[in-house]
Amino acid sequence: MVERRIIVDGMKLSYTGLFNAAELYKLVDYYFRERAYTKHELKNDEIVLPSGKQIALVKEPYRKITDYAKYVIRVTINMDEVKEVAVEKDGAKVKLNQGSVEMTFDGFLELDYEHRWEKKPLFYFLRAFFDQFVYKVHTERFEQGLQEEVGDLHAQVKGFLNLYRY
Amino acid sequence: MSHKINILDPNQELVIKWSGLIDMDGLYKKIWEWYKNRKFEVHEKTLKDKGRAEGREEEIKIDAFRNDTDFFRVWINLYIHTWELNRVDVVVDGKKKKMEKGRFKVTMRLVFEADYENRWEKSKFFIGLRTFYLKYFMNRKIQTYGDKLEYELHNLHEVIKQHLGMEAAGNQYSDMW
Repeated sequence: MVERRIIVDGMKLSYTGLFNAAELYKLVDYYFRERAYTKHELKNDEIVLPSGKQIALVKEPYRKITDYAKYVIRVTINMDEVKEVAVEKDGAKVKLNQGSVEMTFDGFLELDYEHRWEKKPLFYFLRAFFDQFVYKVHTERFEQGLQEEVGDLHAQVKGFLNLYRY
Repeated sequence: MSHKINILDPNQELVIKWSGLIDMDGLYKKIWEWYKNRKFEVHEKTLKDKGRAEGREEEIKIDAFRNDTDFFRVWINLYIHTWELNRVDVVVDGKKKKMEKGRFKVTMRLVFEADYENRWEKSKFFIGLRTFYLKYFMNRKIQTYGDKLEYELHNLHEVIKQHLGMEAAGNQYSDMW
């Protein structure tokens, strides 16, 4: 069993108003692409209702830091009552979406993702011992790095949504 | 029995769910075209069409493979399930078009098969050799190649999302491979 440490747990972001759903999705996707994360989309549901679209999206991209440690960032996006609206800005008509967005960010540090140190009880014990005492400095550094990356993404999305406060 | 390697770890499939207007004929043609352009051999294993009171229910299972070398074969399998499909007439760009309204779910699975001709199955010794070769010589190459196949699958994922007109479409990794 891979050791999965929860570093960032349920960092939330809520927004109601005007935004561009397609651009928001591209922003998140591009963020991960820039940082060499492997694309991994778990869920992509869209329901068209009379009150607007209901979109549920779960992405869990990962990046292998070493052959022992891996960053996994889970982004859950729930959009409700998403409608297309035309807004006038600087004399030009712009097509945007109106609705509510709720995003949750989770960051996990996965250790021994290749399952090399769990084949025997002795290996498992050695892994736990090394993680706790010998490689603690490196693990803490990885945790810090992951926290920064999740925080960065959160800030970028927050900045993006603030752009639409007309 | 050939050796199958699952590329999409830990979850083994990509899923899209949609509820609304669907152009099933157009989607089907796009999927077949996608496979044809990438030289896949496509087999439609199941096609079930059930008439129900609330609308048609369809189940389509597509298994497609491509022999990349004489040792490796790639499978990209699709399972399409639709519910409550009813034909509707829609005006698109001033023209009347026949579409369907209902619920739609597609599941995509990617499998990498080694020794699909079962040449290294003749004895336990050969099987051991094959396992040793895959585990110690080809491991990194399989991971790199698996990456490429994963992005190919994401490409198909994107084609379906674009066709449905989903908001969460737009693959920033389209130029990766």
